Amino acid sequence: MTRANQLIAGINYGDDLQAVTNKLKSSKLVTSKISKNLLSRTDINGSFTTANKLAGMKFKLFFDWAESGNLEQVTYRSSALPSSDYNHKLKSSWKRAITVLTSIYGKASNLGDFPPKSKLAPGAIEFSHEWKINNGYIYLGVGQETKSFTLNIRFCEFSLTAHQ
Amino acid sequence: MQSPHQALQKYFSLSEFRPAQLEIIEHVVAGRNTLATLPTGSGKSLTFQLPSFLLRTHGTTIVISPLLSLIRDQVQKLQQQGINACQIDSTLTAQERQHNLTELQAGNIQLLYTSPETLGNPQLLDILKQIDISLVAIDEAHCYSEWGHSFRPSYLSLPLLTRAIQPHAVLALTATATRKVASDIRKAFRIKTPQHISSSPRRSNLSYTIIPSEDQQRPDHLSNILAKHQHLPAIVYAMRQEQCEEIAHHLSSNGLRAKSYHAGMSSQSRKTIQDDFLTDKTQVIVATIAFGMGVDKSNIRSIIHYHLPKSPEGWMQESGRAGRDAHPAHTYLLACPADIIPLTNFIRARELDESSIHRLITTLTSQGKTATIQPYHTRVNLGMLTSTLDVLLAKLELLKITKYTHTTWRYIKMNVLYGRTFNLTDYPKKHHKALTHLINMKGLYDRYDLHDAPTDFGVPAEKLYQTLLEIKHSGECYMRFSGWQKHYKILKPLDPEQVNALTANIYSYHQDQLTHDELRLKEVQRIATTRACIPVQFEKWFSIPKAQLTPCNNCSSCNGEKRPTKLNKKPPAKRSPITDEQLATIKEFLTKKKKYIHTPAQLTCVLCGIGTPYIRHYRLHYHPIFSTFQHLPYDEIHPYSIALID
Repeated sequence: MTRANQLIAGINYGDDLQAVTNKLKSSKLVTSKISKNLLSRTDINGSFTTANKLAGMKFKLFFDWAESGNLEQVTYRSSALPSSDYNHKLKSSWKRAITVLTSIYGKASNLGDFPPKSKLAPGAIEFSHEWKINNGYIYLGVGQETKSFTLNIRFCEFSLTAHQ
Repeated sequence: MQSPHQALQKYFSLSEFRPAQLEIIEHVVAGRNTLATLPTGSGKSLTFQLPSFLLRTHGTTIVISPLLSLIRDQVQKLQQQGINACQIDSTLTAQERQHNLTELQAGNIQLLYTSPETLGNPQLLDILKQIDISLVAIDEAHCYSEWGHSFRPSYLSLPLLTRAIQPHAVLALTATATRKVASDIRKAFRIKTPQHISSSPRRSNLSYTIIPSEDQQRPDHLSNILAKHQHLPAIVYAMRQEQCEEIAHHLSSNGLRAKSYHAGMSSQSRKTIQDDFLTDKTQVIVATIAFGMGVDKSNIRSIIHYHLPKSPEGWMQESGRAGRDAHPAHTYLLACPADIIPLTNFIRARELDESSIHRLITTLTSQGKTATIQPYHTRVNLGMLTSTLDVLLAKLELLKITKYTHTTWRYIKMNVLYGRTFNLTDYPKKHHKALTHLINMKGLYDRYDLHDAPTDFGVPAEKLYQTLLEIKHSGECYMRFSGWQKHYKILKPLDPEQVNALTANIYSYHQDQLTHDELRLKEVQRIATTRACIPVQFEKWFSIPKAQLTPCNNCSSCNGEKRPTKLNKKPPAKRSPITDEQLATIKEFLTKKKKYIHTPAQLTCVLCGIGTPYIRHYRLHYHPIFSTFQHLPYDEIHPYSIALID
């Protein structure tokens, strides 16, 4: 993971799409299968994957922007696992992620159990853990795609009034 | 009462005043409203901190500053010295704020720091009217004047607010005020001409160097300047946010610890970058003009304007951030003719149709007794830059058509954290249905429009919003708000004729502002190319009497260095600036983007690389055609846009 004020590859909250794209393109911490020339024409969501494994899995990066076009949230979403892996591989990665995040950011301010599959719905994320850090929050949870499941780590900026 | 000299020794452990300080303090202590125009680093803070001791029996001293970081730093320093100082601004928690208000009401506060926005808060204002106020010190007072280079609409209400709290004296402070700006400040705060104390803006420890550059030479010039250890730490000022990123990247690749800083970053990111610079972890900050005001770093050794500044005031104020420790420091301008066109185009891009102003006034006044606007969408729909909309909204308040009341968010997405018990019963019963609905909206892109709350659940949006804020602070949920909106009271309903007259009035005012900005840019060009002493040219701009003007012997002109001969280089005339091939590409773009490009002005802005809120909203600035003609004047491209759109 990264310093609390940087999200990955030197990206900061408030960066615009161009800045985020440029930083990702020049970073060794992420890889992309999409040609660098084409990246400016595509949505960068899901286009970059962490180069190294975290909690035993690789993660794709998804970005949320304020109306003004400035970065507000980054979500690390793991590769999707079938339902049969939910209580095994996914749960094991979830536990490892808690250990990693706790070692960096300290004890979580919310410590939930591993959410049961029945709590999820397609497109939904159930966050079990929350860390308060100096410039925002980090959430850890599990999400459901259509039929498969993912581990999600979301970095959110603290301010209610940023980027207006 | 002790004398100013005694107080200087006792509270500041100093034996001598710097030039002009004593005169200002004597006026203030005698109850005379005063305007002080002093250069950066000349000890302005002492001119209100010292009177706060001498006038303690007259009550509390209030310091109004637009810079929350400066407020925080100064309050911390004063508290460390055992002085009863506090702040009341938007950075405090509810408990801290209440504590400070209670202390203030009890008369325990010697120095209260606040922002112009917070001063208008009814709760604070009520207390200030009840207690004795010895002095109101208004920092960066040039922000009051619409003719200043950094006009802030929030300053417009300060004269009225200041009069309402009846202080013993008012002290307006600035480092840069032209004759017109100083006159505006004096009139607003009822300061007599003899109480305008000004000293030359010149700083004898600063050298001014102007390096004639072509665009492609600038990275090398910059690297050469910063390769000298005695030029670090440094601030590099660039025109645009993306250029800051590029330049910082270039410097980092050359082994310097450089970071970019601009208004597009969040306040937290900016704070971290600023702190790293203050503690010398970062050697070079590459910034837009968003950086610097209130940065208390005395050992900055050089300021480099990578691009031409927009005004002499800005040029001088930004340069003045170097060498505040009084040791030699250097300022550089990489003077490049290529900058004139984008700077002029930027001014042209702020031009408005009268119809946009008319729509803004109608939107606000047609909503009834109260009105709500979403600034972001208003800017996009009316084609206005942020600063333009802010000024127009402030103008309507000054004319007593509207009164700003508060802000809220329009959309909400929330998820209860798993493992957390969310007790609906902790919140008002009439909101339970709405909250249950919000909690069950689990889709990735689901968000709820609070405007629908009265129809969907029979609850006012504002009340539900307050409950949601409570939930957010409780930390039980992941929450994401969007759709920032401002609320106004409508003080005066307008008939159509009145709307037309007001539109014409505001339009004419706006045009005058643009003319003034063009004049300032021309003065920058003149100073950059003249062979006369550079600091003397600044002093002339600030109307310093001729008798006081002497060459500095330390600038490019005085040193007889090479100067740019002309900056407003015109492209070769009588040739169409657009080739047939380019014309075909533009037509193709218009066919593909016909949903978004409706007016010639929109097309011209795309072609000239002017990223208005409208263009950014529809992401047209990422299209390859964006800025194809940024090297050409707006006026030269615009006729083509008219022909293509009409």
